Amino acid sequence: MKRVNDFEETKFERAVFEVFQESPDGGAFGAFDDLSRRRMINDILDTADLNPHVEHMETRTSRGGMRFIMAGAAAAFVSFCVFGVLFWMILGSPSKTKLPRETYFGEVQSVDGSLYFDRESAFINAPIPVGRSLRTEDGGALLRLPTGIEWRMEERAEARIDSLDRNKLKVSVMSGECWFRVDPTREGPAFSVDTSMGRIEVTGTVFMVRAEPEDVRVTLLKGEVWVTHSSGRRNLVRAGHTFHLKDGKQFALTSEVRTRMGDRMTALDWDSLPDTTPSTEADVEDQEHPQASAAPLTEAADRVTPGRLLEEIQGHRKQGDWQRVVSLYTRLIRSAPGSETAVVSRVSLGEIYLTKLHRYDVALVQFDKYLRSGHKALQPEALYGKCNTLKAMGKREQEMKCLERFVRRFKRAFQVPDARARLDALRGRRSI
Amino acid sequence: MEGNRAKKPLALLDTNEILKICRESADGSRSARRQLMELLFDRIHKTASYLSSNLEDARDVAQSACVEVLLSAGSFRGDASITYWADRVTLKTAAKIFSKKTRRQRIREAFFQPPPPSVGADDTAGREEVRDRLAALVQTLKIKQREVVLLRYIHGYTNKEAAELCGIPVETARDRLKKGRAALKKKVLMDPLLKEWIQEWVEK
Repeated sequence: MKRVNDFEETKFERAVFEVFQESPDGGAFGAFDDLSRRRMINDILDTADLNPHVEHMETRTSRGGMRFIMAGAAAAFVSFCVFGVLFWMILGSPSKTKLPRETYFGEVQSVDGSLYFDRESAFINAPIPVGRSLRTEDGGALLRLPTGIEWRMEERAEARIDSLDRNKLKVSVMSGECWFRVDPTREGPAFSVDTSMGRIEVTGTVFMVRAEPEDVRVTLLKGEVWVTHSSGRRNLVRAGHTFHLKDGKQFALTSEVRTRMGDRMTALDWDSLPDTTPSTEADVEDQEHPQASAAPLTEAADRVTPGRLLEEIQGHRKQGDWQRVVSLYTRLIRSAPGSETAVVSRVSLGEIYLTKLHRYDVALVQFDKYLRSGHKALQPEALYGKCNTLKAMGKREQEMKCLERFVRRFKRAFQVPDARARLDALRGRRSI
Repeated sequence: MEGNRAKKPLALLDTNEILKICRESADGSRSARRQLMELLFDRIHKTASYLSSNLEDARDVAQSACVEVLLSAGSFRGDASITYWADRVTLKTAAKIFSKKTRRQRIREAFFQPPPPSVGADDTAGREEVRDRLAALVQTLKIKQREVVLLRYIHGYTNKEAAELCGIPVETARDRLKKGRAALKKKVLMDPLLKEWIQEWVEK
């Protein structure tokens, strides 16, 4: 008999290779069950949605090549520094006066009276300096910031762009009245407005901040904002309300104030912003009772096109605001109940209820409605979604029937191996 | 159309279809990204699990690699297979994550031992058990050797391909494989069940 310690390397190599190739392999820690896998994929998709600015390593060359590039860059940098110092010593400083480096963001669109950057007068098209005080005197000014934000300073207002980086854009309102119109579909740094009494976090909306020495008021015409008081208390302010930061109270706007503000919006030509007012009563009812989604078209739903709604949905998906996404999908379905977009939306809606909001009963209704619609493109997804919903609800018998139906109907679907594995587990042949 | 495309397994998709999915993923299409994940998630997860010595690290690497694949999908040109490209991204992501680990963690990892074989292990243990134990031993190899062993024995790449994927010369890859194999062999002979299995192989 050959001694085991002396066997040839090639034989060992072949043995190891064959073992790994022959048996099904889910990785060193075993495979995921289908629900965990689905959840992990959803998490990955959400993470990817939130990271549009990542520098991708795939654009780099191989590790060896990278090393050469790094070495080359380092050598170039050292040479540059050495020559720079020599040049400086020989020729001396080119200028003895240091100019402050300023960052600018956006520009002045129009000025009714006088606008000052600290003490300097500012004119139309002037770039707005970050960190300097902006002050109006005998008239307002309209400023436009590049990431979908319009900002109107009324007369005798003082504000400042506090900080700006890839993730945050902060504006401070020190005194007076400022209006902001923020496009809900905008991409870019998160926008917030600071006041002496708290912070306003904005997504997409039209609102006004009035800062006075004894109180700060936030008035909302469209959308919603989160107001964080300096004490840390957070309040959600909805459209048609005004919020007093001093005492933390919220009041509905009177019809007179609404009319006045409506006039102001018309004057600013800000009527065109889509209404992102959250959950109307009908929306809430839809979420709680999905059967009601075939209700007749409302005026509000009629105003916005499905394309625009889908864009909005995409934006909120990126932010992970699932309640809002659900509300918009419901609105989309209601706006054109028989359309293909509406029918297909039910599968997305079901997925969100299942994986994000864990409202399994509602998810089931959505999948069922799609399956009954006769639309074919997403039948496998909808049926498999239904099976997973039944699994989440712990209805084993129904889940088994659903999976059997799925495997029978969609033999070539990519979910079939997972479905079969789950079926086996349910039948007690094998545990997952 | 997308629905049909999503149903197909990876082997049935032609390069143009894969390129289209990648392009759409790079443009931020959620459905294309989901399709790409359905195609590559298991592969990435498997690679990550062999490269890591614990479940937590494996999930970290797998998740980061998946995100990286989605974000850099536009750079896939179709001149190699999509799994080859995904493996490369996974290896690079793992290298990046492991290099960030603290020295303490690295030392702890160096002392990682696989769970001891159960006493009186079943003599007729199936291939799956052998594979699981081998997998645990592969995880104890040094990371550089582990990379090459994974690519060669688990994914079945040639030495040249493994070298390309790791970004090292072929000779270096061969050397690492040799050392990794020797280390693995030593560990195999210390496990009673694996020793018996390899004995059977030698006598064949």
